[in-house]
Amino acid sequence: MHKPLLLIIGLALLLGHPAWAATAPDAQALLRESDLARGGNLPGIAWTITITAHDQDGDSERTLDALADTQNSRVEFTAPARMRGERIIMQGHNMWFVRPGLQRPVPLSPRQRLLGGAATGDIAATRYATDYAAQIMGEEAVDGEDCVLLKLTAKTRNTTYDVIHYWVSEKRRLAVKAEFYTVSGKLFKSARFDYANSIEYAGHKTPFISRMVITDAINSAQLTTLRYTGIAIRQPDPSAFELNQ
Amino acid sequence: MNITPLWAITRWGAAVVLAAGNLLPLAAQAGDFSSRLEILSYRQETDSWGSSPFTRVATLPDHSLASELRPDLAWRDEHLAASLKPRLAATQTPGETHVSTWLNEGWLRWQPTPGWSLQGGREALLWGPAMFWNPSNPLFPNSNKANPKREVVGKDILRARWQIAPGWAVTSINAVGRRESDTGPKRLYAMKLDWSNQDAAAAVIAASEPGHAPSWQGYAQWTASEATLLYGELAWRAGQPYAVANPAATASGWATASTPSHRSALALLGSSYTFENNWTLYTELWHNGNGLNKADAARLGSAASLLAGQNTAIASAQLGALINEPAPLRRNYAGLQLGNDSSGNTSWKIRVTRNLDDQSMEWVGMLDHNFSDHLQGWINLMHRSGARDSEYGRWVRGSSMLGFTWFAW
Repeated sequence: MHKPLLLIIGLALLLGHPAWAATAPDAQALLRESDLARGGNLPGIAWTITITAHDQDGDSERTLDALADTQNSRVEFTAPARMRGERIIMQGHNMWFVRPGLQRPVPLSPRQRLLGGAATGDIAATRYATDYAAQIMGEEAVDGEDCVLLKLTAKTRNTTYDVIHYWVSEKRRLAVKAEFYTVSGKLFKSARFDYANSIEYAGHKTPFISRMVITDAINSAQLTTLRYTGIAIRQPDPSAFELNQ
Repeated sequence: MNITPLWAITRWGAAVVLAAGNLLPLAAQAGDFSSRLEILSYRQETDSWGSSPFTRVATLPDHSLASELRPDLAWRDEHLAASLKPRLAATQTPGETHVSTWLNEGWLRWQPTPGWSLQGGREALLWGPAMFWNPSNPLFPNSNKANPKREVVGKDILRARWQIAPGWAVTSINAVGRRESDTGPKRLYAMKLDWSNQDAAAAVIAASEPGHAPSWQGYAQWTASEATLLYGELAWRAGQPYAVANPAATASGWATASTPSHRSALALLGSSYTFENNWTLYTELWHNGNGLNKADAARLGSAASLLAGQNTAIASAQLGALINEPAPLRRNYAGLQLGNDSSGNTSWKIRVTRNLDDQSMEWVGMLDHNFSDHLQGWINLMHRSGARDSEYGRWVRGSSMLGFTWFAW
């Protein structure tokens, strides 16, 4: 007589506690691990980023040298010639644009874009584990690779993105795909990540980001590629992030 | 042809030129050396109000052609850095060609240990989040933001900076001189305390100028959301003296006298918002306690008008004194700036400034277009409107600059 009831309870327990959940990783810890391969949680890092934007008007390219510690980032444009010497300084979420000789540092909002689909926040070392609360949404394969799908919700209102869907490889512990959403839930761009670089950190050789490809959700012809080269782990002097240096 | 030699700069600037000029080539073999070269050419047209009394003593050329050569040299290694920015400009106005050279910036920096730096030389030490006016900076309150093609000329400064802790730094600033053509204090000592956290930044500046009471300045900015910035700047200091006209028993009927210098409050509140299409709107309101009140402004207006009707020989001295007016002239202002996404090949900005005391207005439009990675064309337009004696209705009615910039490397 109680068999149907027991069956319902048993099914409910099973559905409410799927098998993968028993071995599911801690979402925030997984996010922290994946940040490492995108420059986060390192005492200091320097790299060169080449940004190529492709849209209906053609291609354009910029090259910049980036420097970051655990809180701050600084990028300096080295090409094209008309942008040479321009800098963006980031202290936490505070951002400034400095043009050589012409103006004082101009404050920027995280939303302001650099080129094509690349936001200012995309070129900084990634610290998603600090800025976002992670929640496991499930499992999904990306290009045949098993991934944990995380939903990242901004902890504060001043992060570059409100919500990110983030696919992190179960085996490699690296983010391979991301979708970026506005606060109203509208998808506005997506990105794919490659890790052909590697770094030596804490006695271990670990993969490091080599390419990020951003696709605009509305205009799929707009494609922005960030290539990362010349990666070096080094602790920068704190004055490197001062506005008047 | 009028040529200002490079050595007409102050002794500090000359010392830095010598030191950096000798050291940079040697040092280039050791550290990282970088350089850039920019060449500007433009034609400027200026239109004065027909009724302006000031055109009798200071005639603005209705057009001019100018070219500037701007090389930037920089070098750095682990503990030392140097920068040298000499400039060469040639300006042609009807009947005259003027060539000048100067050192815009040139400094040496030593970082003996992490967190410490000592720097000496000429630099444009700019700070403050506001777009229209920076009262928090006693050295550079007006930094040419209405015309971003004009460089801010540096001052000769010695400074030491100590990063006390993450997010905290203190800087000792000693401004030891300036070029003859510069405005602002000749000597100034200041202490600046900087603070920043994840979402906000602020600074407090105490400054002392020989012969003046100490002044206090500060600014704060807050990244309120991913699209919104809120900021403000404050100061409590004496303004630069300027001339006012008083009725007097002189040949012209007027005599100019320098205003007494007293400390007043200067304040600015502002915000910026970046729309989803990446356009950004800045809104600012500011109060200049050192500006002219209604009575002084009315006296200035009537004096200038009456002097304009008099014999030039009699009135020129007083008109010449009155023309050196402070900026901003009056006390209360509002400003708006809207600009598009500057990351594309075409960028534009529109700036509107309204004097809330006399209701005069200034409109500035800027358009830049990148023809290639090396060549940029640009146009800056300015138009002013207002009553005859108002700030923007009294001298220059408008101007245009059409130019090209060649970024050699």
